[in-house]
Amino acid sequence: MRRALLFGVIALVCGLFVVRQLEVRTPITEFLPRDEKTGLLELARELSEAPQARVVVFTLRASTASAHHRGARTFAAQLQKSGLFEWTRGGLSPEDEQQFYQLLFPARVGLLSLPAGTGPVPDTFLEQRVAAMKERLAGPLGALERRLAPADPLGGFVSLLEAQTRSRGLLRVEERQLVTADGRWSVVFAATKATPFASAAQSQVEAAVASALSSARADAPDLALEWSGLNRFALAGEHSVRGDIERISSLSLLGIFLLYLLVFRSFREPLLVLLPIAFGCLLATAACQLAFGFVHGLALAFGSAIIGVAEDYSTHFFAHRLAAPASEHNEQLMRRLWPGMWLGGATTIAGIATLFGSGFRGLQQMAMFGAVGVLGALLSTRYVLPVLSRKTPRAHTTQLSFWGRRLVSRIAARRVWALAFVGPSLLALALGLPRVHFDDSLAALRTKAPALDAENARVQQRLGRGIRGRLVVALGADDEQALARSEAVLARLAPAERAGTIKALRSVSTLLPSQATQRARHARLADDPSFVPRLSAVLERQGFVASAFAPFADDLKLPPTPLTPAQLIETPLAAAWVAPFRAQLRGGTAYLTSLEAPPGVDVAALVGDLPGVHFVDQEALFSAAYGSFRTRILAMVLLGLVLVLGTLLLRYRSLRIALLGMLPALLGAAAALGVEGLRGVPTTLMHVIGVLLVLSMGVDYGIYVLESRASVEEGVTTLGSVLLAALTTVLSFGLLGVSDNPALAAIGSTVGFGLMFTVLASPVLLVFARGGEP
Amino acid sequence: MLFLRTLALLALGWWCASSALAEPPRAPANKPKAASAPSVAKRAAVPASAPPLEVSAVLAQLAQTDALSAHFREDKRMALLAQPMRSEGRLYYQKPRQLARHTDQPRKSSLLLRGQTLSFGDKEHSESIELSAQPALRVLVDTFVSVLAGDLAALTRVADVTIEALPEHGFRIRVTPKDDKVKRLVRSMSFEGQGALLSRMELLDANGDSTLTTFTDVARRGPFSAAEQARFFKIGH
Repeated sequence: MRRALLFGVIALVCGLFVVRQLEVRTPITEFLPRDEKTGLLELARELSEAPQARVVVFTLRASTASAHHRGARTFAAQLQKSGLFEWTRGGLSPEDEQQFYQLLFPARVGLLSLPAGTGPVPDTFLEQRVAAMKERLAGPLGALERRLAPADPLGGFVSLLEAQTRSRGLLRVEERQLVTADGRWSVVFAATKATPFASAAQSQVEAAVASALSSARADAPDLALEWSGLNRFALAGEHSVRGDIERISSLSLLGIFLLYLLVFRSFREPLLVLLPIAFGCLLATAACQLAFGFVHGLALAFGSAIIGVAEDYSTHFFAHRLAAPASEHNEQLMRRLWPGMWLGGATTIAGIATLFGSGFRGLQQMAMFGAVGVLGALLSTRYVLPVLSRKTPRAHTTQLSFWGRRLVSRIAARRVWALAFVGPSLLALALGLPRVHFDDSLAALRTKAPALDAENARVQQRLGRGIRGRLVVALGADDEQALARSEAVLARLAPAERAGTIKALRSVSTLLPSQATQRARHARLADDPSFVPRLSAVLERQGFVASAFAPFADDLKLPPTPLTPAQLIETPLAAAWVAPFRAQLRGGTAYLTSLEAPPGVDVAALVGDLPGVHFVDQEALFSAAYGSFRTRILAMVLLGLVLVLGTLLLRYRSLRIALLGMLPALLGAAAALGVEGLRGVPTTLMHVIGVLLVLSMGVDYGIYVLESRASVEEGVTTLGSVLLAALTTVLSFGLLGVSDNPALAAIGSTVGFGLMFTVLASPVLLVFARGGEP
Repeated sequence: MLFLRTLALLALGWWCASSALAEPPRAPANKPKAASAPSVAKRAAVPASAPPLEVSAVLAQLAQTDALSAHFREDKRMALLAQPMRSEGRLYYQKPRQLARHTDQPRKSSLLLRGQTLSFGDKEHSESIELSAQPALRVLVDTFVSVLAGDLAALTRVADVTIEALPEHGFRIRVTPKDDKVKRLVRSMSFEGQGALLSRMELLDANGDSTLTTFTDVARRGPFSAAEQARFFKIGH
């Protein structure tokens, strides 16, 4: 009783801690692998939470262009007012344009792109620039050019305007509002302050978007919104997982309760069986919160499934209580059962703990949740249940025992009957395993959201974004170094873009070169004594009055005033000029160059040798890491099996018995994969984890059967307990199998099918372990 | 930048104003209306033999045009240039406020006015401006539209207007902006023509530069068909 009280105190402390501290999050980044050697995976993982991943694109449409322009402006203003967004951009205001001029015009010479080389700029370049100025004077913006030209005959400032226009891609500006190429949708970009995976903050963002739309509809009643962002997918995944957790935990608890009620015909056992489950879950939640600072949604969902495992021990105890003589006290019975129960629990915990070696923080949390949960359930079963259980069970087992004995006798008498029990597994294995195919892509683990996918595709199409984008990261100790490296990247990739090998190349360096480059450009013109006379000659050749351009020559004599990221960051221009490219990472400051390249193009080969430059193909990196982890975990499973075999050998001193103990679990796990193959479901890392769980739990069942093989009565009781335990486990994992989240569904279906096949093979194990005796 | 943009937009507005076209003078179909604002529409100095010329009468004749197309030639005189800079192209106009100006030389570009929206650009890029958000530009566009529409009241709301007679029944309307901000950029505009059409337009910048536009190959006509509208009134040609 004192031990029971101790467990009560522990539960109380854990409960209070969980109530006060519990924070559930669902960052997918916790399931992204780490790689300390190259740092590439770390970089890719960090980029998943970088400011660029926080960008959300809104497209708005109404019956008239003016209406959606108006609506978009109100919408953007409301978003900004919500305080949840770092910045919003739907077009430049007159104030922004003023700032644009004030910041950039003084720095125009350094920002002007000069021909390659270091010597005096060639006359041909001057001829081209002056001719371009003349064209602009004759064009629609001639009056603007007329004012600028005396101080900027080479068009440095106008080039910046043009670069700014090019950076918009297919988008245009109408009535100061960014619109799609066809003008039918207004476009607003925004960046959330919170990472896409902060579900609570992103729920607020979603509410703010709905509220902003509602406000904008006051201006444009028929305003329609379609938007896209990583946060929407993260939130949808979180809602799906949360829904699954609620559904699975409620239904599985109800199912277990009803099943127990049916078998034990009493309320005490169904209620008591919940005790170790609750204790295990509480302990596991507290441990994860303590160790990781939060509990991952998937670990919690996994924990819901652990319920099915945790009650195996109490089921085993209660089933034997039914069959045990009344003279045997609960504590005596528990001591009798404990070696097998402990051995089974230890192999389960060891199996789950294998996930610690994965290198994925999310899986490590799952492992901690599972291992601590099972340990808590096991210990509370051992020390609490005997105290609280009734000594004489109400249920009668005569009929069940009769059928059980009859079944065992039949198989013992005619061993061909065994085929009926292992045949389905063998069939699934033979037909399904050849069809198994692996899919290690990140997408295979993502919650399916067809409506969101379709909306995202429509939005991306409006923006003119096609094939999957790639990122080249220029990492530096500070902005200056990172910008210099970004320039080197652009110098390598620009020829590939001109050749058509890659497209949609976007680099900060077209807008903002490093200070060193800006100074060098300025010096190249200012320090060349022949420059001004040559420019004057070119101007006169093209019909200009050279003396009218004296302001430019005068400005060249002044020291250069390079434009810096710090100057831009505090202005509204940052949203267009800096934010899309800059990320502050743990390794330093990074500038990202984005591009689109068909799968066959080796971008890494183009930039790989540049210092501080990394080509990051997140999808490929993560897929490769998952593939490598899948292989590693399979190897660990095999090693684990050898260890389990060794443990069983130590316990039973017979290779045949030890192998028999493992056989149902092995058959179950392989057949479960076969079923997935037959269903045409691609096998993922999560299936492999499911296999690990089937083996862990399946070996438990094998051990229980082996422990009771001496007596057919005991054996049949154990078969009953295994059947009941498996049914409850299948109930909870089976429910995971219908989850919208592919990761949960993969674990659920593998464990569900795997344990069904395992339990089906258990009578055969009993018969063969008894050496064929009935 | 704001003032630069305003300048750019003023230039666009000026271009809008160049859709008034020359055509041999014709007798007006209807008797010109009496001036609705005689205190503003001043009598000009006229040759001794000519009847007195009134702004309202001239504008009423201009307003008779439903739609037209023409070739334009523009000469810009700037302090920056030793010689005037010439550009050429075609214009399309349709009542009440549709104007397309497609420049062919020296570089292809387009300018389009539809109601209150002014767009400019080429086949690759285009931008649009809502006139309601650009008061100075709206003044210039409204000035020109008022001249075409013969709306003297609207014209005199934004500018001081004078008229003088030219030989062979010609006229010159001189428009001086009332708004000081606009006046700091544009000194004045003048429109010359005969009968129902304009043949020349001149804009004088506050800095002394000037732009002279002349119109030839004019075709007055009824409203454009839907297919013609789709072809002519678009950015890029």
